[in-house]
Amino acid sequence: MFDLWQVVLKAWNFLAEPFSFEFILRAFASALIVGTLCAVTGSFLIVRRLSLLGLVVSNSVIPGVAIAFLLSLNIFVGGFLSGVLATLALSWLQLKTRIKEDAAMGIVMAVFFSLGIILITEIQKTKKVDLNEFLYGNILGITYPDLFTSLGIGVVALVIVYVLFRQLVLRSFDPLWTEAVGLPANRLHYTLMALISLTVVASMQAVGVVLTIALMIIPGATAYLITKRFATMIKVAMGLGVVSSIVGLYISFYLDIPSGPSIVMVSAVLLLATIFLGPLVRRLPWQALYDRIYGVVVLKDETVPNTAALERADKE
Amino acid sequence: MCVDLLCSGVVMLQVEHLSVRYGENIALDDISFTIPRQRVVGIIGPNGAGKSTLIKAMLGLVPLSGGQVLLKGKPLLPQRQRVAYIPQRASIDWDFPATVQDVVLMGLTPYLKLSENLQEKHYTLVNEALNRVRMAEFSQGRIGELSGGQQQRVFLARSLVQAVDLYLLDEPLVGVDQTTEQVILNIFDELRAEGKSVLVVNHDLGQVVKRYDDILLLRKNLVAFGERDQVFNSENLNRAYAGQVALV
Ligand SMILES: Nc1ncnc2c1ncn2[C@@H]1O[C@H](COP(=O)(O)OP(=O)(O)OP(=O)(O)O)[C@@H](O)[C@H]1O
Ligand SMILES: [Mg+2]
Repeated sequence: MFDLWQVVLKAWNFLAEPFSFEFILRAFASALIVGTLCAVTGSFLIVRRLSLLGLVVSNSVIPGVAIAFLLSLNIFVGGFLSGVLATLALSWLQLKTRIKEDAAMGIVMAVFFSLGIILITEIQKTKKVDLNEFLYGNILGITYPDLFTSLGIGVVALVIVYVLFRQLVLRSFDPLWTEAVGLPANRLHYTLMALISLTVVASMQAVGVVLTIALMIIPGATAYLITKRFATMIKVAMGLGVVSSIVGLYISFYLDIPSGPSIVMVSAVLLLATIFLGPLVRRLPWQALYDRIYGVVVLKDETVPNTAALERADKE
Repeated sequence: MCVDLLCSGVVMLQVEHLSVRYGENIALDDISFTIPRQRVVGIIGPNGAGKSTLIKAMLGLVPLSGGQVLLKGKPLLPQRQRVAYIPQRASIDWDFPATVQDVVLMGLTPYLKLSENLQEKHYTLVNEALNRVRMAEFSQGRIGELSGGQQQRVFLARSLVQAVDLYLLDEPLVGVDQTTEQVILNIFDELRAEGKSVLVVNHDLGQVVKRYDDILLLRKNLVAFGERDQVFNSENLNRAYAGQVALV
């Protein structure tokens, strides 16, 4: 008994210790916000096969942030506008030329990123700005004003997704039909683009513009593997995003490694675990769980018979 | 300007002097016709005749270079949610995480308020539609697991829950087997009986044609339009197909 108590106490200390520092508290709050938000908007990118767009937008906020910094304006607003501008440039290239989406993405990303680096190098000549912190984030250095801005942006973005959910899903699934029934297909597309840009600016201080893409894509991709409905996928992705952020932060605290990469590595481990354990999970006896956790991993695993198909065959 | 038919409320669709151009290429030239309620109309013509373009133009999916389209006497475009449409080739990603039921539920999206939650009655509508197309047993299956004919039936179910008066279907019978064809043709009959109008783009000049009330022969121009018996003859077909077909 005594031993067990010791273990519990140790575990409690392990979990609670980081919280004795206020900056860690802020880091956890930030990780929760970023983990949730990235997973939600990222899930839309995945089902629209636009994952790379997350990369384009996140690299494209750099010049906006730099310009806002130079002009002493709000860097969140600057970054957001520049991200939206990049998505507009993307659409323009595709509309006006025969350049395809993937090439257009490469072009826009490279141009905005280069512009951003030029501007930041200019700034560094007069002021002390850490480029690394900007690219890879520093969740442990988050201040209260930044945290609240990030929270505000996150809440706004999540409310928009919640309200427009059905229409956004329809637009992602069948754009032509969305337009044919008179729903604002284009406006819904640009709303999603704006949401991606909001996600990036809300996350840039926590995980940096380079790693935001990972938090948008990895939890969503993992969830995609084990769910058959988008509504379930987005919830599972949120859970995975939050778990990755929190576990990643603990690891970062105890092993003293950078927090952004630590969070990303945890989410990658969860992805690998899903890929290898997914087929096992399916063999669990609970039918209800089984019905939900059934997806692409399953479809590609031919050693396990597809019970739905068998049932169908039985009926006939 | 009150035409008799219009005032009595039997006119469903009026297409007036409709023209469509893709750049230099004229796809449709000055098409006019009127479709009353309770008609199943087959749109027939060779590849590239402009059949798909005609339907897309009505829905505003391609820009008109002239003319107008009226639904029950008023411009169709602002009331697009009162028309059901099945595209020739669904441009969707079959790996999208959605069940058959999810897809049919999407048919309700234009009619639900943003704040409205799905209720029992919505699921009932969806199940009824799936029953009508004989797909109820697949309702919880992933859409990616369906055969081509089953996919067509699911899209038909999605239009059925829309509960609208005009159906525009672009080649719903291509590549489907006998069973699916019968299911779809019977639904045309049911829709007619409910007072609705159906426009079906069709390739097949065989038995299926007998199920249509009117035929619209198209080849960039309107070759002929009218009741099947009067329009569906070798003279008109030869004009539409440039002498490439013989009626059997
Ligand atoms: N997006 C487009 N851009 C340019 N030209 C087009 C486009 N879509 C169709 N066309 C042209 O318009 C004409 C009519 O095409 P449409 O697709 O309406 O024919 P269709 O009758 O539906 O043929 P099919 O039986 O092959 O489906 C064709 O000559 C085609 O080349
Ligand atoms: Mg066509």
